[in-house]
Amino acid sequence: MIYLDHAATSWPKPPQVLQAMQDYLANAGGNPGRSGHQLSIDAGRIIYEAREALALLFGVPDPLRIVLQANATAAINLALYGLLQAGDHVLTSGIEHNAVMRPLRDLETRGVRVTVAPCDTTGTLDLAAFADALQNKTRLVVLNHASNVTGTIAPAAQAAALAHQAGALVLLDAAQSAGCLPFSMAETGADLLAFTGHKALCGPPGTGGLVLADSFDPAWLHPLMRGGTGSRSEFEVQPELLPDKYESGTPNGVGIAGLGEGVRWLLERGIESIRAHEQSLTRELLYGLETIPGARVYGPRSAEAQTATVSFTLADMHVSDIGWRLDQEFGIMSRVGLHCAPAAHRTIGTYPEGTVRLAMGWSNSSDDIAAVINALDRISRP
Amino acid sequence: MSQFGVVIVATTSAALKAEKLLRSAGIKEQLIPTPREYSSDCGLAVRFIWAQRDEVEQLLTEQQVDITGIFPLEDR
Repeated sequence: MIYLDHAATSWPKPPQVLQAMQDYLANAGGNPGRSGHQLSIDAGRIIYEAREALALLFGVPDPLRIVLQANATAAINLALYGLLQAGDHVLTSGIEHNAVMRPLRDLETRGVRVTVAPCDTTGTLDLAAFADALQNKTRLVVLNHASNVTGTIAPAAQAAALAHQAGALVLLDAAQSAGCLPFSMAETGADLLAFTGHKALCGPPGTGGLVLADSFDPAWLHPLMRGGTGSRSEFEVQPELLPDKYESGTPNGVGIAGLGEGVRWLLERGIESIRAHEQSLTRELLYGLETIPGARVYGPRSAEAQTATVSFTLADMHVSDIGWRLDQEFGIMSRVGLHCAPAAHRTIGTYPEGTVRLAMGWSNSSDDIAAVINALDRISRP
Repeated sequence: MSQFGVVIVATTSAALKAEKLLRSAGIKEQLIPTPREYSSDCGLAVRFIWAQRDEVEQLLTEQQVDITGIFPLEDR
């Protein structure tokens, strides 16, 4: 079995992640932040240490600026609905996921103005068009850091600099980049960064969060949910303190325990070394795809300009048939279709049919790539 | 004179942050349930040796821990 669907969720998880989750339930079963007894403190400490690991990963000095959420979608919704009001202008790009586009289209019906800056057919943002689309009422720029369809890496720092010059804030959707690419939040220029825990951060599903840059004032961002936090219990208004302002209700402690361990595992192994490994696999895959009759590859087709996510089609074959045969005949797991990103597929010219996506991870080897190229060679011949 | 003091903070995360900072600076501390006389929060407070009060306050302030108050802990 060859797993090439790491952009959907990473698999397998490092054994330490499973162990941390079991330990949490077995040994730290208290409700974090609700009681003063040992089991509650132990649970709280595990969650705090996960924040520390994430703060180290993103280069953020204060772990309390890591706001934990259920996934990147929840984090993006918190940022968009918490920040934007009728009359505000938002600028986004033509390669976004529905996690961004659906909330924006809904906000549009509530009086928020939305502009989509075009990307070229490789999914690369047109910075000149982007700069032209910035207005003096642009409150927020929302950018996909790395595409879940083509792996295209956005020129985040340049776009953020332009956005800041225009007085706009920047939200970066790092679902596909966090843990894949070595970067600090400051390097990207983002004011807010949404991440998921279950992809390259090696954690379980149900984890993710929103990182607030040091310069971001939490007074700008309303919470989406309000409720018990274990703090300021005498007041019936939501506390303004971080991270409690945005973290009502009992947290997913067992998931966060796994996420913290996943991030520590990643930091120990080194994102640079994982990135180098994945780039080498990407080169092998791109090279191999050139030998497949009728194969058309989308995106930058460069291991430097993309993550280890590669989209392609085969002439005169439905992507669903290719995915089915890869799975049934060769035990190779891919993801076909629109990848929850119709806007991205329109940009690269593959809407509505979609593409076959192969997304590699730390656990893949050159043998896996050779096997998939062999399989595609067979599938592509009548 | 009390032997112990207590740092009252507003959130559990702040208590855990204070614990980490003090521990790594070699200052003896312990997390305790917030004493009712100082706050009705359901969370945690940080107990320390009162003689180190200034050191504790300086470190936590420098590291931007949101402190509600620092008090001597009644002997019980």
